Amino acid sequence: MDVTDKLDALRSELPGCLLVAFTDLGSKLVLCTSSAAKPGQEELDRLSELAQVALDGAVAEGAAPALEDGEGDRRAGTAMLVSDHDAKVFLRAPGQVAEALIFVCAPDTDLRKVVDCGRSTLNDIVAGT
Amino acid sequence: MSDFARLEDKLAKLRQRERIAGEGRRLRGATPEALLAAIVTEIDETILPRRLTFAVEDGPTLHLAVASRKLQALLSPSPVLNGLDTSSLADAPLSDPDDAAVALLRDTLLAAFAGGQTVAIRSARPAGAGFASDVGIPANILGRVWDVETAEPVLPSADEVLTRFLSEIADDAMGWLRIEGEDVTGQGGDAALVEALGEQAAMFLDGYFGKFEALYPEPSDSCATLIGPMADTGAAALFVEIGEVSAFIAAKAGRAPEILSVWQRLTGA
Repeated sequence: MDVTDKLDALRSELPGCLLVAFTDLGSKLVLCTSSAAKPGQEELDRLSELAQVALDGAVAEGAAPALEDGEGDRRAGTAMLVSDHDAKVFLRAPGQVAEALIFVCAPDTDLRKVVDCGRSTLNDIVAGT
Repeated sequence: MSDFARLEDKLAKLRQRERIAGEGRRLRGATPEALLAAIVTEIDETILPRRLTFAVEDGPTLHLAVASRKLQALLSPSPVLNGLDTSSLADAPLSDPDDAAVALLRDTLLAAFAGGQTVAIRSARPAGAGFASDVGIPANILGRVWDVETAEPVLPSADEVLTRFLSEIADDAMGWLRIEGEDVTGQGGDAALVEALGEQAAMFLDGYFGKFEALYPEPSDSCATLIGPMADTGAAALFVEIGEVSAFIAAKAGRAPEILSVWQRLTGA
């Protein structure tokens, strides 16, 4: 199963999930997507930029003093933005790879399910299984 | 609250560029009557002279002149709606609640809302001198003649939503600061952690407000932003905003989705 298939399977598990994207935080490029409607390149660029801001950029840096995982790692691993219009979730891949999953969901989406299923798929992608 | 003077000072600077004039919001209602009631509420909450623009999703756009909690006129351009000639209403001052124009405006609004449940609202200063201060129909009288006073249940205020949220997540919040405008007005949780939160909040909000338009490109009545660590065992930074009240919270990272589900429920997301 390639990454696109994994993203399709992941999205089908999550009611209210409109888009899942696999992105490289370093280059800020979306590598792969699964979505209900084909997203424009501008939207993908905006989302990858947002993932970088939330997990590595200004917002993550501002949050770093508050983050504590007990092992001295102050990197942001998860970011969630909930508004009236949507819920966006960003999950950083484990280890030192600069990759992440982006979710754009309906505002009332079950975020626990997004996080649990997202992490499981992300681990599979990074492990290459 | 002097311990939080630095945070308050930063908030004062950041707030200056946070809310810009003309920033849009959205009204929601399950029926045209509920949206009409929401508009009467908007009129009731508008003190200064304003041009309120209501744009129905995939529908018409209407402009109202409002001041001192009074509806003064439907402004041009008047909407084009099937079966209703609204041209006589455009820019005509309203003062008599029994005027046929007031009933026609009600019908016009209901017709405009017939096809949509979401209405974007934008407020702007009037372009010209506006209407005389004695022109207009007070919102309470308008509600009566339009028969919308009981159309919508009273929603909890932003203040109540935040109070309920902080109460419901008490077991998962390690420490929190409640912020109203530029003042820290409440705190809770572990004393040592709360002492450090002021400094952490100032740092977080610097990045947050600096990137606000990228984080939330569309106007939203409420926002919740959570940044969590790599592991579920530590603390996450959470900032929630609704209306003019907000809170910075150090929360249990492993409970982040459950904490946000409370926010989703209370804000009607």
